[in-house]
Amino acid sequence: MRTFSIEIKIILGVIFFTLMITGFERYQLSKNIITQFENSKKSKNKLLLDTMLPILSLNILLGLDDANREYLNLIVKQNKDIQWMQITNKKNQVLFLYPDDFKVKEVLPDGIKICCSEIIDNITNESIGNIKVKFSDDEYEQVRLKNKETTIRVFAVTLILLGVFLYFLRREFKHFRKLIQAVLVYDPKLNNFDLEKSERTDEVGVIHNAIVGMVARIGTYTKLLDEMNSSLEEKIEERTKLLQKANEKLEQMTMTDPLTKIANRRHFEEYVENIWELALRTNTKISLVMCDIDFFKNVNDTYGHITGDEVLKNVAHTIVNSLKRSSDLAARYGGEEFVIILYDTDLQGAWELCREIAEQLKNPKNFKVNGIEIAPFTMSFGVSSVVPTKDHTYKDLLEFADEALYRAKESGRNRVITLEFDTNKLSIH
Amino acid sequence: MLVKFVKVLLLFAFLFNTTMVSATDYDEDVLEIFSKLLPRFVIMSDQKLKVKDQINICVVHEDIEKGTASSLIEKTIHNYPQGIKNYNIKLIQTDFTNLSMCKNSELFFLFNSSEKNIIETLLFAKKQKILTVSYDASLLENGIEVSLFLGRKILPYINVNALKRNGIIVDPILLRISKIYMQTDK
Repeated sequence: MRTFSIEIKIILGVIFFTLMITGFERYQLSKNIITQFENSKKSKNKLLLDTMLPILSLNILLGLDDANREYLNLIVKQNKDIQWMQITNKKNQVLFLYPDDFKVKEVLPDGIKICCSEIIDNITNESIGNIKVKFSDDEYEQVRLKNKETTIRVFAVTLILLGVFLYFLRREFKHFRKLIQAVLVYDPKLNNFDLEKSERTDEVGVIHNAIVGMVARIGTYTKLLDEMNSSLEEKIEERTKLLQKANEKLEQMTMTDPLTKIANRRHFEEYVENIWELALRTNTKISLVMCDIDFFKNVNDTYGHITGDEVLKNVAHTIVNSLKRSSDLAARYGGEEFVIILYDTDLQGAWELCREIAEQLKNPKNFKVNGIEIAPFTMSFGVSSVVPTKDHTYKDLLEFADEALYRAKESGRNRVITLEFDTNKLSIH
Repeated sequence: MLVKFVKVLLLFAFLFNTTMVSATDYDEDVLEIFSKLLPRFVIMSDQKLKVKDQINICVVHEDIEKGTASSLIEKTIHNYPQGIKNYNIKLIQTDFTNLSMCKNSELFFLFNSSEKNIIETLLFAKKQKILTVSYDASLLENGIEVSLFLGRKILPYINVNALKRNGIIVDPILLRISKIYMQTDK
């Protein structure tokens, strides 16, 4: 809901009440003036008639017609507002008429314009005639017109004074507007409050100076807060970095085989699941290699676990270094067992990789561990390949590769066995 | 010869006296106005305080004006058959020698007479505090209090000084419609 500013409310209120009061006052005054005028006119007319009647009565009774006529003419002359006058006797015969040719209509007396009265014999109290007088309402109209003019003048003056008052009011509110503007645009960070202390001691000055003081305090506290924030941010950044490192380390620990530093089983399974989904969507062939160091127990037994660990590390690095693509992942699956997932690689490609790894393993460096020369060792490889479908999961592929490895072990080790997923076709290399 | 002379003398005297007395022609219209005025003069003055149940108006005249006086009385009775303001109106005719029969009147109406008669009547009226009205306006000069002004218009003619002297007060309305006769004191 829209709310109007206090300034508007005050201005509208002042205008409304001023005009209301002025209007009401003028209305009352006009009413009183008109009423007083009417009463005054009525009194005057009544007085005139009251003055005339005894004389008229006597003149009529005494038959002093000429004197009567002269008297009435004098009355008419002295009272310019008499428009017509008629005097009749009790037989309704016209004794006097002004103007001579005027035709008097039947009218209702109202005391102001039309006055009627019986002419009474003061001695016998009998009615001897009737007088009707019409007075002009020129005076009345003049009074009304003058009243109207005065009203217009009063309203004009009121509006002018109101205008002056509103001008000064607006000036006072200008200060408020300036203050509001300064408060609205104020940003503690930018410290952009540009008003100085006011010398005014009125309410406006008090509010102004209170705001200025408040802003100064805000500025101080903001600065303090900024400093605190800054130091806090540094601390947080530091802590975050430490946390990140710790998280990375943790992640590494959860995803990495601590010995060989390559992906661990957990990581591999997560990864292969994603690769399977990707290949399913893209209808791409993937290959899985399971390999295993032949007779590794003998290495441990012969050279010790420390040497055995080094062998495992070397084998792991050899496998990882053989991978060509970033989408390929090698992981330590078990003690001496490793697994490789190859995206967009068929059996042939996987087989070739296995051969390469096998060749790399023949490198004499692999057989000198911690200054000890160890007997050469080999690996067996089981490979399977598939274009994933919804009917299978990666575990099925894993099983096939595992089966292929088993076959490789059974058939004499140091070889690569591929097992077609779809056809279950076995081939030995 | 002497007899002849005496007859001529008597004739002359009669004529002279008659001429003195009958200098005025009495207008019926004027009498009509007086007939309306006379009872009102009593009511519109402090003479009304003397009135108990009837207004007494005394019409004083010479013998020769008896008829005129009667005419005036008839007119008055005609205009006020029921009296005025619950008062009966009694009109008494008399000559200038029998004023005592009018001592309880409120108003004397005088037709023309000799100056001596007029003055004596006025003295009597003053003593009895009776309002005096005359047909002839010239008698205002003698001290009559009210008459009629017969000019361009007809108005009651009031001798304010005479009223003041005799201690009689009239209604201001009457004064308002009347012409005022200002007598210089003799």
